[in-house]
Amino acid sequence: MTATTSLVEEAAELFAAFQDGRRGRIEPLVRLLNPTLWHVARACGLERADAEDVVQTAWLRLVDKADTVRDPRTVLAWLGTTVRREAWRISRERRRSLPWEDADDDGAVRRGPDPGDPAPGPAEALLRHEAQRVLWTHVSRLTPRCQAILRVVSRGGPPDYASLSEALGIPVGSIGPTRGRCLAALRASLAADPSWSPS
Amino acid sequence: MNEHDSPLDAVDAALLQDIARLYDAADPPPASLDDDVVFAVSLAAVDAEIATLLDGAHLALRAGEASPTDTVTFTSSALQLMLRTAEDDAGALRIDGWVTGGGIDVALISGTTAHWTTSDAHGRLVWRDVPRGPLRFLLHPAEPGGKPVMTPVIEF
Repeated sequence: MTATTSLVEEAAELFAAFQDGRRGRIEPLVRLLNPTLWHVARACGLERADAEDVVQTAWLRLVDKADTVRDPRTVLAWLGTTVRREAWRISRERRRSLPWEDADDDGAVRRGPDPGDPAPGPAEALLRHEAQRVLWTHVSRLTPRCQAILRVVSRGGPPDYASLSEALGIPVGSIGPTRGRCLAALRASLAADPSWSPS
Repeated sequence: MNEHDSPLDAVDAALLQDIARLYDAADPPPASLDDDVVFAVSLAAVDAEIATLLDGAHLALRAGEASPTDTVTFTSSALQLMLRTAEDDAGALRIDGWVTGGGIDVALISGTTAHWTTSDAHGRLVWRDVPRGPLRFLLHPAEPGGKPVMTPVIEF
């Protein structure tokens, strides 16, 4: 997603049409928002199978409660919040906290290895480009909180940040500074790596 | 845009795009996710209530858990559905179900195929030769005007 498109705007148009009775508009809406919802679920630390369930559940709830969503511009935040809450419920059942809820984890760079890290193991193998492997290495060194935030906010442009921060359950006032801190940490880490060349 | 939304410089903006592409390459959504969701919401457009899994059962649903159980119960405002899996002699998956009432139509949905059956007087249901993979169940109450109920996806 580039900074010039707005998920929120596009989604609002489709969802308003859906609410208006053009039920087929749900399909392009699903295809538009699913990658973002998937990354929200995975950023919450869910395993892939759980993330699939949670994304489906969120859509089923939305269709169930479509009439109660008054402003179609809130549909991304609504779905994202539902995904996070469901993820939280499952994580609680498994006695885990969300990656960004660790109280003593306020820095941008992680202090030690995290054995509970749900990041996909074979990621490196999937990354065909050297630049992506280098970037992955550096992103992996960020705190789980930073990884989760960058993973989700990178899905949209500036008009989407309010919705994406709501999806993450982070006050919109703190998403900018937090994102800035995480990006600064990543940039510093990359700058110190001679094998990194920006795309 | 507000004062907290500090504008990104070009390097940050490019880096965020790289990060989005990175996660799409490293951890993409399953290829079937869009179709599964579209199918599920199409069925749900019949105004179904979403059943919830009773507490604690979730842990038992995933293959590969240390001590999987084979019984799961869903509940909704009007109906309860209990499912138990077994393998028959040929190794095929068989699912026995009990629902709170007779004459209730229940579909086992696998992919985009629905296998309908109707509960007997004791609420009993059975599906044989069930394909492995994600499943969900759609229940149509017997009384007219009763709200359909859909379960979340599970995998035995």
